[in-house]
Amino acid sequence: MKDNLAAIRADLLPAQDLIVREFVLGWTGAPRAGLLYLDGLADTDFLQRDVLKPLTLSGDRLAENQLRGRGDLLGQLEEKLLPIAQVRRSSDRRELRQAILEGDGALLIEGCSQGLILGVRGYDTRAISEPTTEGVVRGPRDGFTEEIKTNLSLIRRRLPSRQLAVEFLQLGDYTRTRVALVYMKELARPGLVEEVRRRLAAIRIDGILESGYIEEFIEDNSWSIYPQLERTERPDKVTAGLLEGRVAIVTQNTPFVLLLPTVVFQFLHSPEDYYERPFIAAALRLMRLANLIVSLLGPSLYVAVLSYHQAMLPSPLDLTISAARQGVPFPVFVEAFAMEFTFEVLREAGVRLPRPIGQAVSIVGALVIGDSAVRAGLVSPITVIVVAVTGIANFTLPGFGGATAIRLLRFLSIILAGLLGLFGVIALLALVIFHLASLESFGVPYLAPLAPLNLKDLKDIFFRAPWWTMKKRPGIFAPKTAPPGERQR
Amino acid sequence: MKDPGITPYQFGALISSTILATNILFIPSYVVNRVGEAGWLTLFFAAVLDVTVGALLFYLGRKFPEQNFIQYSLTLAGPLLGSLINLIYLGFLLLAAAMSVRSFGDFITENYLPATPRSFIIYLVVFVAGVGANHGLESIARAGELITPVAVGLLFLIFFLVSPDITLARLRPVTLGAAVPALRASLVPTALFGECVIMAMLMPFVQEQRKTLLAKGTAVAVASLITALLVAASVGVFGAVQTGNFTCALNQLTRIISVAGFLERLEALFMSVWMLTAFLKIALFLWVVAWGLRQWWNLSDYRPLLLPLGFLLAALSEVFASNCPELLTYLSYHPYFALPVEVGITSFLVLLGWVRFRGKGGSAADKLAGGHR
Repeated sequence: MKDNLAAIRADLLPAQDLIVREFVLGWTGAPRAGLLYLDGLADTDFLQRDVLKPLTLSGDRLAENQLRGRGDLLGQLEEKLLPIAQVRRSSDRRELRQAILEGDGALLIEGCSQGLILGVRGYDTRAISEPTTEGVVRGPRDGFTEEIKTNLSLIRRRLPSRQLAVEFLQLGDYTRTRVALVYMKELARPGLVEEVRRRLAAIRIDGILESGYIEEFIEDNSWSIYPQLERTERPDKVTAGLLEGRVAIVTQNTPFVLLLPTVVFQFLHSPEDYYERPFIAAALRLMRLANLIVSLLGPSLYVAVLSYHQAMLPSPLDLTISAARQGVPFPVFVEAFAMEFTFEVLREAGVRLPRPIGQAVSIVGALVIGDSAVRAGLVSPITVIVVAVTGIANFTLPGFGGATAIRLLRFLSIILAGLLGLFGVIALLALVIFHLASLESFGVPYLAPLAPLNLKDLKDIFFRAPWWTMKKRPGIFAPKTAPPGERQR
Repeated sequence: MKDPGITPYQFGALISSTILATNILFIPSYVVNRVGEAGWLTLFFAAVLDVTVGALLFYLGRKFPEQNFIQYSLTLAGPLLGSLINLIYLGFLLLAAAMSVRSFGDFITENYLPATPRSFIIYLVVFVAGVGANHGLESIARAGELITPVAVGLLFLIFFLVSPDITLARLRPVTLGAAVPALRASLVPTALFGECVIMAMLMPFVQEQRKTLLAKGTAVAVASLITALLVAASVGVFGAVQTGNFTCALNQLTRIISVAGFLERLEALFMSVWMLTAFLKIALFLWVVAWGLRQWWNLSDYRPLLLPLGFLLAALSEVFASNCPELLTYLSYHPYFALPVEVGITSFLVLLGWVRFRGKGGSAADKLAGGHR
């Protein structure tokens, strides 16, 4: 025990937050013991109440047994004295050390080559709060936190099914980040889980700090600007995904859970679509689709039409725009590009600035800069309108990753529109379509179910059919069992 | 390299887009110029002839379900003649693509970007199509599945929106006498529709191969119907003489659309539709030529061929004609080159197939294997 204790301490040196408590077990002639844990990671109250107290104050009952030689001491302690749910034995010094580092306590007893690992992790975690990125009007308000246990519990309490599988693995040579692979045994497409496991196992990295690291390692095409995995802070979204036969990857230290496979249309869907009435959901989805198009093509069409195809405008509109642009010293391309750039700057500033002033700066900044720029005659009010509408339209897209990709493409399309007019925009559009068509997410085409076409699945893409008509699970994720009601539970 | 797989619907979408990309630009004016009021009839003759060729190719494709044109031409005509056929066939497809690229370049520079060098447009078009071809047939097919319904839908919308301006009287007289010139003038659209011999290269990849002919027929019917409707609409709006004098009648046609004084001048819409289908078609043809060469020469990958083929395509389209009128003039001679390839070679192969592998049941490949056993 002394050797082990000294060795572990030496390994961890200098670690002054390592607490080593040596004491004598509470019966006559009892051996000495040592308890090791890291301050702040293990629950001190718990250790004092349920480890130290019974061990130091226990009577002679155990001693009798020990003297009679019935069973080993550790076994007796484990079975009779320690009221702790998670206890395991280990004779491996490295395992003990790792357990201490991850927040467990280690109990070493004189005369025993083995040690006990006590599951007493108890560090401060953030409480469950409303997700900040995916708000809904109607729907559950709980969001994932940084603690994997909490996150798994949020899923478990929605899915108390024996079919829910949770597999743990640790990624990152130094961070040893706990990652959970969650799926429905009965529903996930055969081979999918194996494929995910294979890709996860291939990850070689020092540390995983966020699920984004994992995403880049396991996605099919990491050179694409489109995310091929869905990330979400919402447990209801993950649960819905699991029920469709998808796989979730929960990562320690981040509220963002990955869902795969993913199709591009998922970035147009909000969980609320499934809670609200179908007509409203359909209207919202169509609006988001329109917003997607506006957000991608709005400014570039504006630039293309004004620079090259002015004849396409109806005369009154043309006159209005020309009047508004009178005196503006820049070509419309420069104007639009500069305004878009300013918008992105303000948006980024809004994210980075300290929270209390962030929002104020972004709004006032936009108003002041926009307004003064127009008054000074540097940009036309029409450009400001186009840019503002585009920006707002982009905010309505629920999938943040997809929306960001579109922001990037928007700049490219403005440049092409400035260079080549409508032809440039369409050329870019063709490139984007070819690219999207080539993407796959874990064997599912990214544009499914539109291309390849699956008519049955289309009822949950541009609109949502009422729940009672959706009798089958979406075929794009190819769940393997019969629909509900047609199988034994 | 893994063989791609496409659905019959995707196959049909690709065929439709190929036809639309080639035909909606210059053909309407051309046929009206030659035939007058009954110009739209030519498109139906072309469709019928094309589906006939399609049926011949279907027969060959079913005889050799695992093989495409490049492979079975070697089996049927022997290595020497087969290689010659392959050379002509692939060359023809590349030339067809070059024609599209060139029309693209001319259309853009004439109508929208007069100050931009045509070469720049051509290289950009070839680049975009090359990227598409690089992604492979499945991606092209999915893109086609996405683009074609939108394109067809928008063309129908355009027809719907111009329909109030159509004066039916302008479409008369349609007499039986128009049928003969129509038949003669239909050679050009037939030659262009006939580019769908590309079907022979796609057939082995179509899942549910039996449905290929149905998909082909439907695709040709839809594409020719919408083109014919728009030709008729153009004549109904402008009259035969004026339609015949335009370079691109449908572009002019979309200009007159005016709904509630707001939705006006939809040529941008027309142009976008056409450009998307053209990108699709050129990408498809590039892929097919590269894939064909790969099989013919027993290479392991087709993608390295795309770069030289792309340059060849761009160069071909540059030297194709010295200006737009010359391109249009060539169009009327195109059938004399295209039809022997499309109809002639196909019929020749069918004849060979019929003679060499006569009898019912079983694919030719089975019989070959049986013969060697």
